[in-house]
Amino acid sequence: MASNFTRYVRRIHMYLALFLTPWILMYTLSSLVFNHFGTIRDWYGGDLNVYELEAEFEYKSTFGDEVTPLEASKQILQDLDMDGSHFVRGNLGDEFTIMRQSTYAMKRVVYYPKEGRVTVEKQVANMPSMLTRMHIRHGFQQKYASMKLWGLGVEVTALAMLFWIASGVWLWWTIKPSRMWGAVSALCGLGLFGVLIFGM
Amino acid sequence: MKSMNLIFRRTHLYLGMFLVPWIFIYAFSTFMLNHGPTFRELRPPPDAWTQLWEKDYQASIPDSQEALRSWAQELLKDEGISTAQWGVNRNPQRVLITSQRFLKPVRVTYRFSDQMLIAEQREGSFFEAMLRLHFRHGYGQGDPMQWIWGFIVDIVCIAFLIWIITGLYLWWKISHTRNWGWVAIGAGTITFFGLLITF
Repeated sequence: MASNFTRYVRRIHMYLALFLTPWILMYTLSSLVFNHFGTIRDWYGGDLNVYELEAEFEYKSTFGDEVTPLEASKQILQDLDMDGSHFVRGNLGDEFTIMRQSTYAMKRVVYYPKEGRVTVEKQVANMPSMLTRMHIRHGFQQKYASMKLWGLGVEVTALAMLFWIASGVWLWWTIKPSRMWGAVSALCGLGLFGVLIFGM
Repeated sequence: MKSMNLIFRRTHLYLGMFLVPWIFIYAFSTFMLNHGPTFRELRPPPDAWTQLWEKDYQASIPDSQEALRSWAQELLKDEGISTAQWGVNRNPQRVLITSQRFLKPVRVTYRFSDQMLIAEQREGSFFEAMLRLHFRHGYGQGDPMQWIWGFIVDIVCIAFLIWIITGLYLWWKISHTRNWGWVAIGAGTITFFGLLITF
């Protein structure tokens, strides 16, 4: 019974890891980018957020007081045939920026209400930005199916990592010759973690 | 060949045992971030700070940002407050120095009007601590503890690469799992890139 259970745990541990390999690789590489951001930014001439003007349109629209920036941004994106996951900076009435998310390169849509125009800029694509964008994307708040599905992927990965901890500890305990050194490793890790968390 | 198998197996295991605390942080905080609105309600309010002490303090505050940082760093060191990660800003009324401690951040305010120095501590919160642990990265600017933390972040990243490599090797050695393993890798890859394309 116990060995059957262990076998199942071992198989789930392994197949889940094989399934999630692309996610883990993405989080690993993007974490390296975050941890060495200054160095990597220097490789790209000191700026990873370079945008190039793609188009400029006349855009005259009056949004009432009851319209929120998020609603207005959706309307603008629909009018430009660019609807999709995005976030907004600024307030209606002033110059206001919509960051349209995309895998390869962000698009920046700036609405100038006083001048009645809109500019569309595209980020110059680069690998570090792509990775960090994937890393920080999460949640189920946006109404777009693609965002919700990505959120589901994030959820599965997070829960899988918790499962790997539990199943890894179980599997360690079933391998008797590794108990002592496994315990030493765990205690060293916990000790270092304790020193850092209470000391920093 | 057998010893190679054993080395891979043990490396996979012991590395995992050593890094359990970090894997837990990253997994649980990612789950929290994915359910932002729910967990936000469980965090203390923005004004949940308790005064630790206050004292008269006469200081001439430097004008340049660089000199202001040096002054603030000295002050934190004198008061025994962590300089692993901290920030300083000023406005016409006060200078605010925040030490982002993992468990309970401390902020020190210097008020110009009555020349008072006030230290406050943020209410402890498991959920906020998880997020601080998740977001902390980089080697800092000279603080040895921050350097160690940045180094550990690199170790976690390298460990994930090692787990991928040793995991693939160990999977391949169990010949009867190869077919389902291919299915898992294929399904995972298609799902991941499928999601990327839809954005």
